[in-house]
Amino acid sequence: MKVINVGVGELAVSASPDILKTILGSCVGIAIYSPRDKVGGLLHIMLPRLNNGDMNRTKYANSGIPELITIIEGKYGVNRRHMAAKIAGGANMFSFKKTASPLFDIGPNNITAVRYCLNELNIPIIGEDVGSNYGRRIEFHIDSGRMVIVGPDKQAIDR
Amino acid sequence: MTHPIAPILNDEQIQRLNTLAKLGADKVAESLSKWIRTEIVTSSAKAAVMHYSKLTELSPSTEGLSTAILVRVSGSISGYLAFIFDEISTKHILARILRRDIDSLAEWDNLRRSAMEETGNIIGTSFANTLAMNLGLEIHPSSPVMAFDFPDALWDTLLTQYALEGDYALSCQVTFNSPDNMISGIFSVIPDDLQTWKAL
Repeated sequence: MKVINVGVGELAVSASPDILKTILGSCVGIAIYSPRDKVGGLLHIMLPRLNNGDMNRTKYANSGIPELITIIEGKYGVNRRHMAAKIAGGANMFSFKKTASPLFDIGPNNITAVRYCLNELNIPIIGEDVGSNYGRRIEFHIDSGRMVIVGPDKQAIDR
Repeated sequence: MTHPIAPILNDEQIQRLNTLAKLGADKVAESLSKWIRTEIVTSSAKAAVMHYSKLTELSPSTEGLSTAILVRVSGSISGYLAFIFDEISTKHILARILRRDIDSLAEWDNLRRSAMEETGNIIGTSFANTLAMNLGLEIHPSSPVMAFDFPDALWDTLLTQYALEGDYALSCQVTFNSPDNMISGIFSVIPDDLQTWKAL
């Protein structure tokens, strides 16, 4: 079994029994997998929409999610009709109440963009832990489809 | 890469930012020393261009939790001043300010939060004033905000600001320590728009 760390703005795909992990603040982690085929991937997006000309497609929800699905399809021959998603992150880490800040809305905007994109691609979200104001360490277990999420209070939850 | 950084900032401009970072860093150390009544010295001050993913490696510790204090600056230049302290440093800073031992950081009441935000206010204003005086610019720091969390999760949020600009970013990193190493931290400047900082 391999434990694969997914960096900021990156993705990784693998098969059972591997575990994919990342740490999230306002970014959103999207695990897309096929429970039937026991393969899947984890994407760590930073921003909602692709900027013009940016070649780094995995930074964005609207370009990274289709890319992740395409890679899983291509590498493992899985039909996207058998795929499901679990998402986590999108926190509002800093409470900018008194100051206008571009950072203020990034977490909620990322969540909205991820939901919209998955809905457009007909990938159901079957588990999530998003929003609020704290960071999350997540592990996605491809064999069981469990997403284990640990917050700064060290309490682990399963999604 | 959306905006290649190399053509935006040349060596001379980076060197100029380095000098400014050092000037500001000394003021930050001085004001922090006065605020917490403990000698603080600058151990390094450097402006650099790097891939945003490398910034997380500058974090004081990936174990435990860290405090990040953000001060938004606006005016002639805009962006964030970010101060990051590890858990042990946070406890020592709070102990010095509140004049009591801090055993645990599990609970954050208004007093603790205010103490850390005021720390960011004092050192952020000090850095901003140094820049303003040396460059003849108008720089307005805003009220600070803080979070206490996984260091990588804090960086994850800060990096989104860099990601808006491209894959490479200008970073002015200052590290400072107390002689007994009980307090150490990182101070980073996160510009909104590299073009305006080029004019420095």
